[in-house]
Amino acid sequence: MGALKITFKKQMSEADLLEGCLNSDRMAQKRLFDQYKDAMFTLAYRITNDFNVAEDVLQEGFLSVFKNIAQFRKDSTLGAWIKTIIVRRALRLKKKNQKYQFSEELSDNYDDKMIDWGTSLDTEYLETAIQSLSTGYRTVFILIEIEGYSHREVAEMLGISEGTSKSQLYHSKKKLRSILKNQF
Amino acid sequence: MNPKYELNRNTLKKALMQLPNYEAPTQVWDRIETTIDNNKNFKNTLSGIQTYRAPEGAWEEIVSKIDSDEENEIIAKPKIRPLALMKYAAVMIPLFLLSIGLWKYLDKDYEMSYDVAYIEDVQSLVNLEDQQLVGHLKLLYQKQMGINTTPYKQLLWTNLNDIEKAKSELKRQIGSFGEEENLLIMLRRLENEESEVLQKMKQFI
Repeated sequence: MGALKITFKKQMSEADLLEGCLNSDRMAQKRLFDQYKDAMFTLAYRITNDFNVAEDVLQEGFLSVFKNIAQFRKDSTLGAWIKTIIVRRALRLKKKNQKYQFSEELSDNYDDKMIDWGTSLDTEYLETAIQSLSTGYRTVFILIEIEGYSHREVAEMLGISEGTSKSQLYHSKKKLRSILKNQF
Repeated sequence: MNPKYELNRNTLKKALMQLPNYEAPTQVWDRIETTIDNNKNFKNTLSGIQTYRAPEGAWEEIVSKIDSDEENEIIAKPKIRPLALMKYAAVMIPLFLLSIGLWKYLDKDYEMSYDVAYIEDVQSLVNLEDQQLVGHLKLLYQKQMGINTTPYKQLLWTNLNDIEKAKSELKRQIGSFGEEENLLIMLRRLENEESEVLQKMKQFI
């Protein structure tokens, strides 16, 4: 009868991870990477719409995280800080290949332009529909609706006005709804 | 807060929360680790790179260069301190004016006197070919040689006599053959040499 082998995986808090990364502890770096890799890869893919580019974003982004970890000011969670780095890296790589195009600002009166999402949405179709949006629409939609950034933050990241960010979001949703309706 | 242009926003929210997550490729960490190690190795290699000793005497050379530069600067640009100069002038000018005033006040019978000095220009005398004056100069020089003669003084005297002999011969030729340009040039050269010798002789009179 073989001996029962029990391994204990030491739980590391965010503070422990941070401390370890600050000391260039390879185990802490690996744990931090493992903790966020899938979420960051997904985010990078959604922005770039390309798995290969997303892979590069993930790699370069985490190298940047480890290099600049001392600059983390703890005014947000470590995850939020890493996410910002990944978003900026993805936008930078995406900008190299494609220039963002944004439509002009809209007025605040949207009463005659209602978007009705209905009672249910198919997730698979939604994913496909999001990926089919143009780069500008998709980026703003993902950053605001999925990642939870504000218009001000998105405007700052993309170098556009808040008004443009709002209009982009509106147009992206309208387009999305139209695609989803056609698919059904 | 739901935007006012959307109906059934919760449907979208729910669907977005169910969107799939993608798995990061396994090789990404390996690449990150390799890059970190490479960077570390590169830094280690850089820190261990060979250093070279500065050549012996480099500091002494620098110091001597600085010193010589400073000396040159002093020679080229004497330091004038305007403030010191103004202080000096502020003291000296009133003193000077005061001394003139006092002198005029105390010595009312003062009269200006003039002294005129005439400088004999041997060169011009020679150019005028005033043989009488040249003869007088020679006489004085002969007297000096009688008192204190040196080989140099003797040489000047011999040179002068040779020049005079050559001049008289040349003048004779000019008289015989007319004023040829070559002869006139030679005569001017001899006269110039004579004037130089006379200048030198005059220093000893």
